[in-house]
Amino acid sequence: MIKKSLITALVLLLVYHFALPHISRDYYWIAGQQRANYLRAQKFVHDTPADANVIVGSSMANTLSDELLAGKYEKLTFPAGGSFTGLEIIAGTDRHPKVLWIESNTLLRDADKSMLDDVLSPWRRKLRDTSPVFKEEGRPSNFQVGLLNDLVGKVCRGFAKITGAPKKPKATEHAIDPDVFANIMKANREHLDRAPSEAELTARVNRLGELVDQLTRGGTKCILFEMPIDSTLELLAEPVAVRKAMEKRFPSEKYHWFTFDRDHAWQTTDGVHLVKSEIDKITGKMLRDADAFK
Amino acid sequence: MLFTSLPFVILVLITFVIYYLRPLRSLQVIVLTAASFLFYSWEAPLLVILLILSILINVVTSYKIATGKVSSQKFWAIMGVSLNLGLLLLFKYGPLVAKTLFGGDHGSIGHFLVTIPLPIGISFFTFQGISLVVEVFRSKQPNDPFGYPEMVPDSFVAHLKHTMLFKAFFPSLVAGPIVKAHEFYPQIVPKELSGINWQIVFRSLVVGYFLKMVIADNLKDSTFWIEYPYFLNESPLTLVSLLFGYSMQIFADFAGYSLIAIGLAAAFGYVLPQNFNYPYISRSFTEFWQRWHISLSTWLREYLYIPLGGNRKGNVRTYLNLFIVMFLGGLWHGAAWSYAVWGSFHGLALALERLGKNWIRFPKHWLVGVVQALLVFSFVTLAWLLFKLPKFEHVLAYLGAMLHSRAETKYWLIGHVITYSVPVIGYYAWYLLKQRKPGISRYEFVIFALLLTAIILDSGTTGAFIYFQF
Repeated sequence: MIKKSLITALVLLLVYHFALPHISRDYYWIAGQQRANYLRAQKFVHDTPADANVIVGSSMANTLSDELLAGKYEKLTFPAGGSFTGLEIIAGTDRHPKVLWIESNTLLRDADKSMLDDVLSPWRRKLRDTSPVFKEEGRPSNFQVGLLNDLVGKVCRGFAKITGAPKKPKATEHAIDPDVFANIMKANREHLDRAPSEAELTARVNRLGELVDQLTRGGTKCILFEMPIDSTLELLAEPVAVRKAMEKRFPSEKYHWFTFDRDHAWQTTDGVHLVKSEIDKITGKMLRDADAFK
Repeated sequence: MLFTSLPFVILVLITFVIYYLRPLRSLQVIVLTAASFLFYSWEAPLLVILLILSILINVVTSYKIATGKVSSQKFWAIMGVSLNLGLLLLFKYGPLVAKTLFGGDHGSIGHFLVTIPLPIGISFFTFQGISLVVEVFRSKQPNDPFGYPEMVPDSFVAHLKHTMLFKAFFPSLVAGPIVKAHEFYPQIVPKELSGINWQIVFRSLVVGYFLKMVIADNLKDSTFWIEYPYFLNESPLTLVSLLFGYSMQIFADFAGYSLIAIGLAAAFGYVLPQNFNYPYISRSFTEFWQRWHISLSTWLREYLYIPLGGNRKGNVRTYLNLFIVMFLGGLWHGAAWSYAVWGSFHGLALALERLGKNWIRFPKHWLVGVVQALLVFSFVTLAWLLFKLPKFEHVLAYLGAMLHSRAETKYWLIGHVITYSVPVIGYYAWYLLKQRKPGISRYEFVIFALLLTAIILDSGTTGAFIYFQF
């Protein structure tokens, strides 16, 4: 039984390897932010040119407009992660982007060690170069989730039609229910109102300094920026401490800083992520001002 | 060290080779114990001190019971159990008690106790220690009704060696199954490579790793959204799906871990008890607890329920005993009141079920069985919310959102939950099918090939085992 199982598994792998390029992508879905993060990291490691311009950051910078950035910047931004993951991937693959934007908001979030192990492991990289079935985009479940996404959607819409369920109001920029928004803001306030320890801040800011200096020596133009958040949150203990530590370690006379209008009342979906109209505005401004840094 | 990490695989392979080397056969116990200590100390070496302390408590007290005067046996037994419980209380419940009694201000005793980290696996190896002390004590009583085998050799050093392996045995050290002393000690004999049951090793490891790496590790990316206040932004259908997904995840995570442990132990010639027996097909709560975390429920029955009087002291006392056992069983999972509520819920369900049995007789029809199984599954699943959301008000908020949320349904999230829940349903269906048509087993190699392929192509990102925190 053991031998038969192993041989059959090998045959299945081979069949999938040859079939994958021919399977239709009509029903295809990368499910969840963690999967999307791995996909982004693997695409960067395997498919992105070594000197491409890059933006590293968290979910905040991840909202920057893909449409406007297309062809000009690669986003190595990870929801639930931070800039360190992107920076460590760049350093681990010995890349030297021409321009590198670094989001400073999530300075306190360490790099995702599991992801780094996964995307930087030499044998995994070799395996992925050999066959796409070992890449995130080649997962069999992507097709299954895509198919089910379509099917569940159809069933739910059909059911709503039969039962005459009232149509949901059309989503606006502020898609979250006001009560939910208030709860999320409360949680954000609680989370951001805790001052980090001096030792933690120093360790993080020093590591960031090492990475920035190393990349700068390699010819990369590093531009630091802080994504705008709701004005009631930006003066809480954590953002203030991070801002101070960043300004101290990276003085604007020595490092490139890109700043947004602080007096503007930024519109967000949940306190920390900007609405689309704001995103389009700031992405445009970043692209315009990037030239000024050159 | 995680069962799914590369260092672990390397450790197992090296240990395996050394363990079965003919010239080192007499050192098998030491080799396995050394590997177990390395396994336990990998992330936090200091924790080994606690493990050693716990081992010493059990070695000394059980040896004293076995070899000391008859008049002092009870004293050493009480001492052994008390010290074991003391360690557990200090490390697991100390922070909760200290915070409640002394506050958590800097410099206070409360703050000191709150900052003590919870040693991984303490609940598991402490319960194993208690089982050793109690069983040695029981075996020394005249007319021992349990018929336990001889567990303590004359030599203290030999007993120390055996107990070190019993308590630190790496497959079951951090998350069970909880092995009872009488199940383990008779197995401590020299092992031969030819004695390995490769079928058990292969089947347990493949199914175990599939449940953990493919099912649990992928479902965690969906159930991640069961977090306050973010779940408030999901529709009722999404919330029901997520809860269903969490129920599948917790089963796959824990049953997967147990199967890996059983497979690894088998590779070293040891038999660990079955920990899960398809619990989600249970038609009653009583049956559920005979199928879920079997090693814990049998431990609670043997060392708590029976000593409390079991069902021998009348109906009311039986209901009360059931409730007490489940309440404490709930608290065993963690120092939070939500675990106590979870345990009480199950205790109440068991007591009510027993009460209802006296009056209600269900017809023996398969459809009735299906409805019963669905009901038990639904209640059990609902109660898992207390595991996922330790704050009671968040549990209520989740239930409220399940009824009233007006958010849009995320179809892909439901698709994701279905994708990784269907194999679990298939796992149960295959078991039921095999019972009806045993001949179908000859095609099992196809299933195992599919599981192996899925492990290679579709494993999720590594996540710690849920039961590590207990």
